[in-house]
Amino acid sequence: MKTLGHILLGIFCISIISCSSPKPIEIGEHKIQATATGPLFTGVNTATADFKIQDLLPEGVDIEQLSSAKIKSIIVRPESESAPEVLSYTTLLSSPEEDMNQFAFLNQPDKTTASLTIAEDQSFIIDMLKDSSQTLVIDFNLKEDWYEDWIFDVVIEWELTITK
Amino acid sequence: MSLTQDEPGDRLIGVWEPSNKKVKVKIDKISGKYYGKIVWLREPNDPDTGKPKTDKNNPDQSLRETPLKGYRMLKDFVYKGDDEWADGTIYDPQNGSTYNCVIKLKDENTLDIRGYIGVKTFGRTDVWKRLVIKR
Repeated sequence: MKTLGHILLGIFCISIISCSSPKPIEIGEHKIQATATGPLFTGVNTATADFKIQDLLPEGVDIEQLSSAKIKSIIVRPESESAPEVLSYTTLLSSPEEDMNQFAFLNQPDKTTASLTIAEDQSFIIDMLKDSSQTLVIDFNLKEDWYEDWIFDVVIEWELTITK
Repeated sequence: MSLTQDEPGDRLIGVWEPSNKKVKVKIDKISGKYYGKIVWLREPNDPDTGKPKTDKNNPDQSLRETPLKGYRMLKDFVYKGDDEWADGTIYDPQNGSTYNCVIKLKDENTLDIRGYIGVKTFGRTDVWKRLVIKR
């Protein structure tokens, strides 16, 4: 009887541990478009895009279950091929209740596609993702004037874990 | 991003110059809060390298190559009424430190920017001037 009690206790402990240990979740490539309203002049301009990370999570998963969050990569691609050269990119993330923070940058990017250098410290991201919405900010340094709106296709790769 | 100045707090939007005239900072509004980015540097290049200045004092070593031109040194300001914006921070690229900050519009073209740690009393105020004078 005592042995059975130990076995049941063991099963109970294992089930508790397995339920509370972080589990990675796959959300695939996160594609968004960020827009800067033209005309844009030589120097630093800004494009923004709002999104809700909750919309990317699998059904039945709530943002409150997130236990860790990281950006593994971000790729920025100007939509227009004739757009002028960009000298640098800086990307930041903000949310209604959290402070804006930089998470990536790139100097002298390739004209068509830029894979940005990611910050080591991303401890701020988890709280931002648990907020009601998120804003992606892209500051980009233009070499020449551009008299139209500027649209970026952005692809973010997230590394997220949840605790049940 | 808001481009029109249709709310009282939007009077902060514009290009401003600190008293040391080393930079020009453009303040814009994103999702209801106000942010200031460096759009001009008196000395754009690092005298040691001859290359554009970067944020070489950033506490996060991985971000030290971020260009200073475009750097958001004012962040997260909320308009509190009575020509005052608070709850934000100011970053000093010369030492990599971030301070709490309150902005007060003295007149249409003059700002008092007070940076402090902890208590507002123990801080330092700088006077910034608007670049395009409003008449």
